[in-house]
Amino acid sequence: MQQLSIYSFIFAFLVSATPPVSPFLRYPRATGLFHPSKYVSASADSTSESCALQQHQLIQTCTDVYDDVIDLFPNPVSIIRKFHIHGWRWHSLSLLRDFTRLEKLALKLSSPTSTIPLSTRHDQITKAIHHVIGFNWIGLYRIEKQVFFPFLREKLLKKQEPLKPLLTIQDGNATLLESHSSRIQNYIDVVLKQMEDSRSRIDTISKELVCICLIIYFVPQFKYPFLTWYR
Amino acid sequence: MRIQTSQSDSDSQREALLSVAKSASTLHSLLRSSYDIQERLIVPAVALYVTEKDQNAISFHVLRSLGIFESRKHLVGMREAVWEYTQSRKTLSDAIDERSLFNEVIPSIPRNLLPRWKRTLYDPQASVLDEI
Repeated sequence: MQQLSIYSFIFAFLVSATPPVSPFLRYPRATGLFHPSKYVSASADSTSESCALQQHQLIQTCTDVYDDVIDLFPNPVSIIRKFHIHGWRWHSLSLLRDFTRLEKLALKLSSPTSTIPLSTRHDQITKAIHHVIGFNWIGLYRIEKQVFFPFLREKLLKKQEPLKPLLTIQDGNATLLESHSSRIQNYIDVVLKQMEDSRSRIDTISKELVCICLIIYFVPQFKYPFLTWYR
Repeated sequence: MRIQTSQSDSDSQREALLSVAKSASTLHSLLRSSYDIQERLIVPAVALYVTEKDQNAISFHVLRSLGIFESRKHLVGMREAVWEYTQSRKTLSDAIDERSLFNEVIPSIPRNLLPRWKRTLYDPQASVLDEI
């Protein structure tokens, strides 16, 4: 039953969100090139480079806009009591934790000294990816894309009227903030776009991870179907 | 013949698993940068310009969108993350105790049910990640 749900997850994921290139098309068995490590390392290398570049651009752009407007903002600590959507922050934290745990698990399972049977490794990594990507990441991404980012745009990027800060005199200089409303809106716009780009990148890598998971799970059975009877 | 084949499979699987580890690390780095930005820039902006009523409305909307069972599992994951991360570092600011904030924000009934939800809903799905 558990395996059935994992298969359903993999196929539902692949059908609903087609990966950039199907591993089966890239390394067809007939040509003898069907080797997961080739697909995997080629993809991972390009991923790392473009990620590093994107990450650099993201940090640079956000640092620029941050430097531009941050002096206008009061100390975040003094206004944290006015923020109420902590579930969003904690969901991101939960995902950060899960990515770290997934990395540790994969490293442990890939260790040459590991005595864990191959079939158990398949099950563990598939189940782990099912939880981290299929449950946790998809949960965050779907909510952000469909609900949260549109909400932020609607509330923070009202082009027709200046933003009115909900500040008391003790919190900060509301008049100063209001006079720089267009600059602040511009920075929010840039930051939101960058965050959405970053999320799209994470989603692409997640799809690649699911493809790798598929390869890990099915390659031996595709290459040597009879072996499944011996395991 | 069978032994050679198994060895080859094992090597392929090992490389694929290493790639999973590498991708997971990349995902962590990407999300980490994004998380820092949302903490430093988006959180203050929302606090400054979005009313409490609107913020609570969107929280409720998110909860409904996630679904009742899914949101329970997510809540357990959030609690685990808050407790684990704040052991080593503060999150938003040194002045904020994230654990106290969690206890303050999450109503007592679901908070008391967290150990049960962890045992019955979260662990069967996520405990594989703890087998390290």
